[in-house]
Amino acid sequence: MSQYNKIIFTGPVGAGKTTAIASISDIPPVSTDASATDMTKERKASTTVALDYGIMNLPGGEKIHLYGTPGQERFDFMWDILTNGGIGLVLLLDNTRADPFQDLKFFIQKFREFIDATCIVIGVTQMDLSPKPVLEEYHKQMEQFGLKPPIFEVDARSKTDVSLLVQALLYAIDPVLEEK
Amino acid sequence: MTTPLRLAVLGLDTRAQNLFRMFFRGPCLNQAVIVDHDNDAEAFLIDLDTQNGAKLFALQREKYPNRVIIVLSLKDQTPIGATVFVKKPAQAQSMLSAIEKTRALIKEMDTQQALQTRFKRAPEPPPPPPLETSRRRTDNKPAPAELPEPATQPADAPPAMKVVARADKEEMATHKVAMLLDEQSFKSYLGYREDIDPANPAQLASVYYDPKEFLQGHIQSACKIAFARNHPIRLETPWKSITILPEQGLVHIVADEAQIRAACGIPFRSIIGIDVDSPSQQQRVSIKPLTKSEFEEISDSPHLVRLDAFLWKIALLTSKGRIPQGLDLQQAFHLKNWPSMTRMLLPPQAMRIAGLLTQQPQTLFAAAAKLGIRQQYVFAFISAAHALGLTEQKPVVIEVEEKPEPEKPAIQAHPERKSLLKKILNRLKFF
Repeated sequence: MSQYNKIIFTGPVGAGKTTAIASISDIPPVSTDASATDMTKERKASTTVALDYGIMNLPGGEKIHLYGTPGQERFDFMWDILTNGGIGLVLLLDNTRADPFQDLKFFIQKFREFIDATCIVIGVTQMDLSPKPVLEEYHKQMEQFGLKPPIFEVDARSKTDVSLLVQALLYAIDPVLEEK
Repeated sequence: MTTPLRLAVLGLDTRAQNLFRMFFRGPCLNQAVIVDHDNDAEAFLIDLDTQNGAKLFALQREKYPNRVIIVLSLKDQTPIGATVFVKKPAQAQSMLSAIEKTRALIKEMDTQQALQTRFKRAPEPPPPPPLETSRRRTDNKPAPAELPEPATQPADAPPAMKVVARADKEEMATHKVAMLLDEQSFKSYLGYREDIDPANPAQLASVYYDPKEFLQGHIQSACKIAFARNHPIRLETPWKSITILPEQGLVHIVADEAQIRAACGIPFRSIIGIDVDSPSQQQRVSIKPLTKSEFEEISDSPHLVRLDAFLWKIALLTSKGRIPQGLDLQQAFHLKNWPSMTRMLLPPQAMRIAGLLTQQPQTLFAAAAKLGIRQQYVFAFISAAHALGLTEQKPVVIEVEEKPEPEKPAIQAHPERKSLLKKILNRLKFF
C-alpha cells in the first residue's frame, strides 16, 4: 500500500501553490521554478515547471510531504503519480483570472477520482484585488459536481490562512477528529 | 519482460526530462527509459509546442531519417513516416500506445534495412547506430510507481532544484484575518452555559434569545433593506453609525473590537439609553440611503470590513452560545456551505462542527454529543451561520441515528491514518 503522507496543492499558474507550501513547510521549500517561456509568462515571471516540495515535521519523526503540481499543461501526467498516497487536495484558484470557474472545472475534472477517494478544499486567492466572483458563486459551481467542500478566501502568504485551509481539509475528511 | 524502449528527449530542460523519467518508470510501467545521447537512443521524443520544437523536429528528421520520433503536442498532428503522435497532456495509456507503435515501426524499419543490405551491393550511407546491440543493454531496474522524494534523488540525475526564499509570512491587516476563540477566551468574553436537557422544556426555553432586542436585529434589518434596494444605507443610532454597502459586501463602522463586543452583549435599549419602542425615541434610530458624497467619503476608509464576517461576529457575540428565536432545536440542522473561516471570528471547535453539519443533518444536541463538546459552542456556531443564511432545518424523521455514517471509510478502516491526521492537526495549530 502506498504511504499515506502527502498533501497535494494544485491550481492554475500564479494561484499561489508555491507560496502556500512555503507558508506551512518546516523546511525552506524546494522548488523548480524557472523562467516561463510559453503562454504562462504573461501571468507570472516564473512558473513551476516541475513541482514544489515542502515538509511538515510531525512528533515521532513522521513527515508530511507537501507537493505542488506543475502549473503547465505539459506535465499533468505527473498528477497521477503525485496523488498516489495523497491525504487530500488543496485547490488554489486565482480570482483575477479571466475565468476562474473554467479553472475550477478543469481541476475538479482532472482530479475527480482522487477527490472522490479523499477530500478537497478550495482556497481563492487575490480576492482583495478582484472581489468577484464571490465565494457563494464558487459554492454554486461546486453544486454541479455534487460537492460541498470548504471554500475559503486565502492569502497564500499567510500561514494562518493556509493552516486553516489544510485543517478544514482534515475535518472535511473526518469531523470527529480530535486534536489530542 | 520487455526491454524498455530507449528514448532521447529533445528540447526539454533537465527538470522536464526528470519528470518524463518518473512518468516512464511509474505510470508507463518502465516501458521506456530516457538516454542522454542520440546514439544510444532507439527513438526520439520531442515536444512540438516548445519555442524550437518544430525546428528541432526538422533537424532531427534530417539527421536521422530512419529513427522514429514521438511527437508531443497540444494540437492534433498527422504522423508522417516514422513519426508517432501523442496529444498533450500526455496520459499513460496514450504514451504506452505510442511506445508500442514505435517498437513496431522500428521492427518494420529494421526488416526493410536488412532486406536492402542483403540485395544491394552498392555501399550504403554510414550505418545507423547499432540498434540491436545497444537494445540488448538493459536499463530496466524496476522503480516504484510513487514519486520519489526530491531530497533522495540520485546524485547523478538531480533535478535542477533551487531553494526558494520563504514566503513573506507577515500577516494581513488584522480585520481580514480569522480570529480563533479558544475555550478560555470564549468563556472570558461570552460566559459559560451549562449543557441543557433537550427533554426539559424550561431548560430548552432558556437557551433562546431574540436578536431584535439587540444590536444584531437592527443591523440585520438594515442589511435586508440595503439588499432589497441594492443601495448603500446607513443605520444611525446614538451609539454608532453603521453603513452597509451591499454591492461591495462591506460595512463601515468606527468601533474597535471591545466596543463591538460590549454593544452586542447587552440589550440595544441599554446601549443607547432609550426606549426604542417609544415613538418619541424611534427617530433616534434611523435608516437612510447613502448619498453619493457620503459614499465617496467612506469608500477608502480603513474602517471598512467584510459584511459577512461582521454579521457572523455580531451574531456570535450576541448569542453567547444561545439560539435565535425561530429555530427549532428538536429538528435536524444542516449547514448548506462552509463559511469562509479564514475571515471569521471562530468559536471553539468551529471546523469540526462545520465538517459534521455539512456532511449530514442532525440535531445540535446530537452534534455536540458526537463531537464530545459543549452545546454552547454548537449553538454559537449555528447562530452565526444562521445570520449568514447558511443553515437549513430538516424534519426530525431523517435524524442521524437511523442513517449510516457518511464518514470516509478509508479513515474508519485505518486507525493509523486517523492518528496521522490528528498529528497533522496538532502541528497546524502551532501556526
